[in-house]
Amino acid sequence: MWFGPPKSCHAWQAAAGFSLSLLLGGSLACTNKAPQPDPLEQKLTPEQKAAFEDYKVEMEVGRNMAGRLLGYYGSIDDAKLLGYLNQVGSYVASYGDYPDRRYMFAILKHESVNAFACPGGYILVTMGALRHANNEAELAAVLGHEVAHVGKRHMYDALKKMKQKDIEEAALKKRQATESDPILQLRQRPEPLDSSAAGARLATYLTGKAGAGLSIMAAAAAGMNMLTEKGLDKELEYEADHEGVKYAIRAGYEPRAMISFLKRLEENNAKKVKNLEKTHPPIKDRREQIGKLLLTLKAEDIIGASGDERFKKVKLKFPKPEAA
Amino acid sequence: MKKILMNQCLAVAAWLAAGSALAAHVEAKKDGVEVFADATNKSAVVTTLKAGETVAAGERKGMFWSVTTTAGKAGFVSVLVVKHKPDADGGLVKAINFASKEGRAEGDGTDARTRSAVMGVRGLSDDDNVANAANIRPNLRAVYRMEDKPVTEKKMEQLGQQIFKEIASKAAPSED
Repeated sequence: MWFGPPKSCHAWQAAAGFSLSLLLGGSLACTNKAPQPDPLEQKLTPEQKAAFEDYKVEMEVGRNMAGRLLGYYGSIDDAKLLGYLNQVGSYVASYGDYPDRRYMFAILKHESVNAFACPGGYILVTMGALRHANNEAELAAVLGHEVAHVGKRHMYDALKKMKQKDIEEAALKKRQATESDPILQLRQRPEPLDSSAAGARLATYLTGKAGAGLSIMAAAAAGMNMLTEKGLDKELEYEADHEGVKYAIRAGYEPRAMISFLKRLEENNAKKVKNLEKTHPPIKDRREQIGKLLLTLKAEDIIGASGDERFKKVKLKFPKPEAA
Repeated sequence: MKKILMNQCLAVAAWLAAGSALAAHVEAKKDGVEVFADATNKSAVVTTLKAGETVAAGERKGMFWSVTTTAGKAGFVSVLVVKHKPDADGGLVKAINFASKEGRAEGDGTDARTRSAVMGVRGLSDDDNVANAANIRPNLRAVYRMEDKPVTEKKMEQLGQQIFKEIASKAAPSED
């Protein structure tokens, strides 16, 4: 167990604002009963413990978001394909600036070209994105982009900056969006008390209030809004492009792989990038930004691997696309 | 109590401000690895490294890593003669891996699994609005499957070897 439920909480803490960051801070102070740390936690330094506590909250939000995307789209469960995706993704992440984070990869059963980075390291790539890649280097660059979002905590930090009111409004908006669809209503996530016990337990710990599971759930819903509609700030997207390309280059891949992936998207697949362009800067601008980075990295001198052979073998075993 | 709260917040804030970005190292694969003054093997040799010797690595520049030796000498080493090693915080990595098991919902997500199995997964066309995913019951079982597939160091090393083998084979014809 991570922690025990608190017995009481000071009034000033309950009223001390509801941004996610304050919920986190308040939680650590309002518990009268100390949590029972696991043996691994006991070995951590105070700085590591603080980082670890924050990571646990981030992970719970990300878990919830990833679970919704997986629930909505469905997943491709081919063990070999997943093994390959995780191998390439983890390998690229090991060349990133945040190798002590955890990165986990899964495939969404959808033919659009998109990928999602949820807080806590849950990275979801559509089957369409895998099909669109011409080689392993392109896949590595795409995964590098998502790894950078996670490592730099782009979404989690954005959520922490949101006030509780905004988070709840975003969650309400999401709920209203599906009211007209009876199928989606059937599949709608449960109310907070019936939802993730871990999330509710965590939020109870954080806020010192029973039944406060809404906070984590609402934060996840707000995160979904950001992930699927609003998008992150475009500067963060450019940063993820830059970092992702750098990680893939460090890992040994061809420097121009991301540019070729994006260029092909722009030329051939306008329909398939509808959702991608809703939340990302225009592809042309992204290509230009990456091009500028490559100049500074002396990319023209870099001999990179394409991973063509490995990718071709994996591609032969891709599941057939479902009929539209 | 307020002081504890403040300290905890400061600790988290300090960690966030630092961004937890870590440096990396490279390890010489053989004796006599040359550290060049610039990112070209035509520049002066600053020093050499012994097999297994590790130096701090910075960014890649062309086919070289920028490095700083333990003696403080800066230079560049070819990516083909060293092994890149990330400086992950081992203690934190273990704790994070442990946390992913501990934080699971009671019942291991079986309820969510059952529900989605009954309803099936609806086929989605390109016209579907992904925003609707926000109101779907999380499929925790699928998330746990993600968490249960860690990639071993060995697997990553194997891939790295194949990648640098490909690079070496591409680089070989152009070397004098």
